[in-house]
Amino acid sequence: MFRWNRERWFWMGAIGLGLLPILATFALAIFLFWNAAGAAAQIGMRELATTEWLPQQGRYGVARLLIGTLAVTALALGMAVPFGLSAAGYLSLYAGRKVRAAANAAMGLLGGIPSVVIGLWGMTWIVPLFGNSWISASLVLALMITPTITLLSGAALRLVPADLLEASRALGVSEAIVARVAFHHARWGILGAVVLGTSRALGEAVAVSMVAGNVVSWPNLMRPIATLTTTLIVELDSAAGSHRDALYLLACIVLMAISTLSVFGRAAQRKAGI
Amino acid sequence: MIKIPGIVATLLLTALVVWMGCDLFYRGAAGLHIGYFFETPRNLGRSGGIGPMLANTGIIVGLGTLLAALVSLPLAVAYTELPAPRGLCKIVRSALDIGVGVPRIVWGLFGGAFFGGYCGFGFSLLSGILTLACLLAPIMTTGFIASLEMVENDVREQCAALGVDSWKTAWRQVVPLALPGLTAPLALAAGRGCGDAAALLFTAGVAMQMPSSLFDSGATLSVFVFHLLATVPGGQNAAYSAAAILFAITLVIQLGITTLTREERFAQ
Repeated sequence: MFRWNRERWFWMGAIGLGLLPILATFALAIFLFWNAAGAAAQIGMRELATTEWLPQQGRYGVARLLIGTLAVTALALGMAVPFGLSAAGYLSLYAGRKVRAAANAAMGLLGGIPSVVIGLWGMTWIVPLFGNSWISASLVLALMITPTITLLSGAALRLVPADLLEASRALGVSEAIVARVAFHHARWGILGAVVLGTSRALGEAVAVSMVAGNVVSWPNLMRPIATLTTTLIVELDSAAGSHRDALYLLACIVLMAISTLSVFGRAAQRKAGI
Repeated sequence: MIKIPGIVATLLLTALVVWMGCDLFYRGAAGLHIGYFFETPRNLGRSGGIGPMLANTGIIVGLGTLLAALVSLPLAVAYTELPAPRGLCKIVRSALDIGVGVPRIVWGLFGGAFFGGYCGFGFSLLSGILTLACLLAPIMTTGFIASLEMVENDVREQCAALGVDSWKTAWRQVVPLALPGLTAPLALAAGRGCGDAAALLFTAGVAMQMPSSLFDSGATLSVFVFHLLATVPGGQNAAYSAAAILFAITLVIQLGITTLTREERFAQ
């Protein structure tokens, strides 16, 4: 099927071009690791594990930023997963074709809206209710990842064979059991959807920074909060010297977490056949 | 059991999108007029138009998407059409998965330090274009690979039986057959580029005048909105108008994707 003759040179050219994006990703990873390792060596592990992030005074403890990131992401997931999964379940198991197409288009639109626009909407409607706070940040984030979770887990649920559902119904079990059969069959695809949603949530900076208040603090539902990514976007412009190195370290932490989640999430999806 | 909450959730989310769009246009309407699309901004962007920002968006997103497509299509075609050891495929796949996941702000950090600092382009359209191309290429390649893999294997076998070499099979038979599916990732990437603020903020900068060359700094529409909200006091009203235009652009692109494809895997 494949012969290594005169088209070899054409293919070599194509591969040469195609290597560029892969090299760019590797370059990014190496660049960040290099700078982050330098920063970690300079600042010292003991200092990094503290809770004080005060760049003006040379204090670079990332513990509270990490906790803030986890808190905002976890609450956003807590809101987005039940919402997204029930919408996906309805759309793929019960909705008619036209309803599904319309709802999927709306989800695609919601997922494609630029983060600044979502952030502006959050500033207009959510901040007046809850202030610049943990709950506002999580609400905005939930809004951004619900479409991802709905569409991707909907695609997984659509792969459940119709025979299986009909056989369940023929047994006379309730609709709740039928839905359970469908969700069980699609579990890997749904897991992939949730993991990819999580990785999107971890990386979001712009919209969250517009509603979170960006004050490094212990998580409190109605108080301002800072995450790794919001600290990056707020401080990067003015940072120099060891402050900048410390920011590279934050970026590196985000990158490592997201890379792990992305690879794992895509692997789960592939296992489900999406 | 899942039907009622599902209907409620779907209705709520759909209503939310409609509400968001209507709200933006309602609040932004005061600033919208014919000249809005051509004039330069005045008073730090609080009044005037968005002419330069539209030009910047066109240049950066257009060239960035083009550059990304130029490297993504060969990669996707080579990945699907050439036999390769399984380990190599896995490495490429993982690199692409990671590349898709890398947050925009991290690309911005890298682009600003590498293209802006090391290569010496500073805050310029060129830095922005190159960073955007890096950001979009993995997204686009993943989409292209999915489209190419949907082409029936029969085509490849028939070509091989006729003695057509793999290069011609790939570019004369497989790519044209996959063409409708190949346009969706392009549109998706262009939409991502229009909406990006975090990566371009640290590479293309926030200048609000017409660029005279690729080495000038220039804000895209998204960066402009973010800049108005983050650093210009009293810029919120102008931000609504610009955000309404951004919403309209997203809507057009999404409608395009919906008509091109009925698939959900382009969700991310």
